[in-house]
Amino acid sequence: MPSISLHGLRVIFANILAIYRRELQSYFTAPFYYVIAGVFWLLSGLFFLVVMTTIISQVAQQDLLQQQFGAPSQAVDVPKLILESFLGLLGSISQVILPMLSMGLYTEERKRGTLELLATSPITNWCVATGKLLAVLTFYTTLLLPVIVYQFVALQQSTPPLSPWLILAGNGGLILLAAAVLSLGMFLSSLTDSTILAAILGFAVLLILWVLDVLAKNTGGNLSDILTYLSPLEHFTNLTRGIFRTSSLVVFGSYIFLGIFLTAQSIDAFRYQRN
Amino acid sequence: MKRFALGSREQLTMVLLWAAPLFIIAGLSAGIVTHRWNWLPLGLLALGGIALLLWLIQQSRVSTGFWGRRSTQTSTNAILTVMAVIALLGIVNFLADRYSVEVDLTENRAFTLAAETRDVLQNLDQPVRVLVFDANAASRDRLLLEQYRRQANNQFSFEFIDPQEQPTLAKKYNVTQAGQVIVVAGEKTQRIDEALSESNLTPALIRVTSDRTIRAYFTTGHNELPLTGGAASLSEVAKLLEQRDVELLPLNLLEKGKIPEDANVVVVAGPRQPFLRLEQDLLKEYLNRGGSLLLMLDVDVNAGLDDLLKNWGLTLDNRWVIDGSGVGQQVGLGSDTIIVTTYGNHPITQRFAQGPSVFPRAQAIRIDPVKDDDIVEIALSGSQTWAETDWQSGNLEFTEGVDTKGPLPIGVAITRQLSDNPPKEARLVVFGDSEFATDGVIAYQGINSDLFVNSVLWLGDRDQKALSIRPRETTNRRLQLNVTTSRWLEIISVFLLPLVGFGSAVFVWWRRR
Repeated sequence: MPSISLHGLRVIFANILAIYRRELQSYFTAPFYYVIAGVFWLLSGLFFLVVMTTIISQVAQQDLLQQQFGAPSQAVDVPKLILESFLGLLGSISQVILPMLSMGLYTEERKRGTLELLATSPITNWCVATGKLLAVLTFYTTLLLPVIVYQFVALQQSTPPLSPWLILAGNGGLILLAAAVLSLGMFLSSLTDSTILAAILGFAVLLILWVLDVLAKNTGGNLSDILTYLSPLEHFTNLTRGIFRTSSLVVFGSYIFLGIFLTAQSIDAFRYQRN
Repeated sequence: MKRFALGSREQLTMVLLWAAPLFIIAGLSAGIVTHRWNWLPLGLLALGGIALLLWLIQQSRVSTGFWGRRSTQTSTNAILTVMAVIALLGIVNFLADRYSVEVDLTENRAFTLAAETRDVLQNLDQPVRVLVFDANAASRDRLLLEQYRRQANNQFSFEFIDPQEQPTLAKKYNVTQAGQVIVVAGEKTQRIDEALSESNLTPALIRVTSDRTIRAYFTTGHNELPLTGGAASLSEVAKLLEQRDVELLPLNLLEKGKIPEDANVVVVAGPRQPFLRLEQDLLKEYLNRGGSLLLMLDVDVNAGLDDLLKNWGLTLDNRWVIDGSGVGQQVGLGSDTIIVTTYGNHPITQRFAQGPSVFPRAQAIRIDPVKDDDIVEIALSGSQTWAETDWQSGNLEFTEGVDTKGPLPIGVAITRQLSDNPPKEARLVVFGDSEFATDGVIAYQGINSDLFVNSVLWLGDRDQKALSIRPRETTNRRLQLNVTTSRWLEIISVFLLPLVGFGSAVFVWWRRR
């Protein structure tokens, strides 16, 4: 490993940037990713309208009842309720999209035999993994951006307007969750040269995360504490509610780091296998 | 080039390598989760062990001298590295959880604990455990409990328990339905039956950790307000007091001939007949030895306590306070009922902000301060009120020079230092009305009950820990989109954006061809 010097760092960044640009370019030239974008936007748009109209009309009905019969009034924060429900659904939509984004990250390279070109040293393994992850995360964020914009437009129409921090925290949580899932998915795609298998493994990871969340809620004692802490979904839900914890950042960061690390390890092992 | 196909030797070893830890982890978790080490977790562990063994055998069959080869060294190295990294991440996360900083982004600080709760938690002097008997732990409950745990110095813990899984524990605490919460400190327990919130958890904590109950004696024999009954009784506030671990006891001064030694506070709630000489002396003597007395005295009743009040620098005004602002009429109250929103700076009222309390047919209290007494006007009528001299005639008009203009004190709290060493003080709270604490008036949803309950708690509990915490109010907000905005939102979100996606897909595909 080269000693960490300014020059070394510059080389590392240059490597990451090169990979990042190459990967990002491939997203914008493949019709497949545009289809994914279309599906994502259609689903999120539909869900947004449905969630918004349902909640608004339900609350309006309740208000009407209260006016007519003097039924007990309940304080409802409509824009916040819409935000929480919508972000929950957006998380579910993303769970379908994310394995599709991560499945091709390494399988294509393995299939085409270009991985040997990339995997030349442990340090480049890290650079490649980081660059690829950054690129796919950029793509996902691009998908999310217009959705964030119309959340702002709609939810800030209330009086007083919904705090922008709530919208930012919730969507930021979604991006962090996506980064963690993509990072683990990237590792899985580095294990096999079958894209389908990588996608299936990616879904399996999401299933495990979901089971982790359910287990965390259903077990008691210290184990429940640990599982709750480890469950990225739990941290995401907290962020959508408006609770920002530094430990959430560390948990997401750990998953991202673990994914990159395991990818680098797996490519390293692959290299030895080939030699 | 290799394709993924089961059966190829290398793929098999790969599968074994990944299956082994998977089974071991599954077995361990199953055992930990069920607390039972029966066939399932042990079987899983055995499977994991077998997979690991097979992998080693397979590896050694691939080539003799397996252990000496470089690839073995690197893969064992790799496994060790992975384990080391995971352990490292574990430590980092342990520390991150320990020293996590939380920012509450909600507008009404919905996830921030009240100052009282933080005080209580920081002063916990014994371990407290909260047992939530619910198989399906609501994450809101967990959030709340986590916040409590973070504020307490290692003295607070909680656990979610499935009552069906641990029936003996459920039976021990007499849990009958899911969702019940038991707060345990040493031998004492407190039960919460409603949905868990800060406004019931903190009082439960205080009750379970405070080593004594407050004994409040209510005088009888002068037609005072009863503790049970309908609208004209104190049954609602009595219930609230009992929830705060206050024991309510009747006290007939003539029968007893003395005020019991264990009395923490004596309450005189709206007497209709005068106290006799002997009774007056008992009350005076009680105050002089450092007692706490709550007097609620109505207009036009001779309670025979004027002498005692004079001793404390107080005189009853004996006129109705009339509200000329018309605010009360808007909510269906007469002008003989005043709405108080101004409170003095006092432990009883410190968290009230400007919450309304309702006083029907109250009288003001005139104050002629006695030296060194600490006198606080805890409840003040508004500036558009006056004391009506001519109240009995029903002609409720303000007459300049005759009637006294507000603001007028309706409630007064006095602390008198009796001796410095040992510190000893007497406490007296006087309200110019008794009706404000009755069920009928409390129904107006003001903070009347808090005013009464906090008064009794302040008088009886010299530790001043058990003051009332009001439930947090949720932001009440509606979303009204105008037609143009919502039309545009619809068009962009479900039509234009997807169209851009699919359209570009077709375009790129077409260009590629």
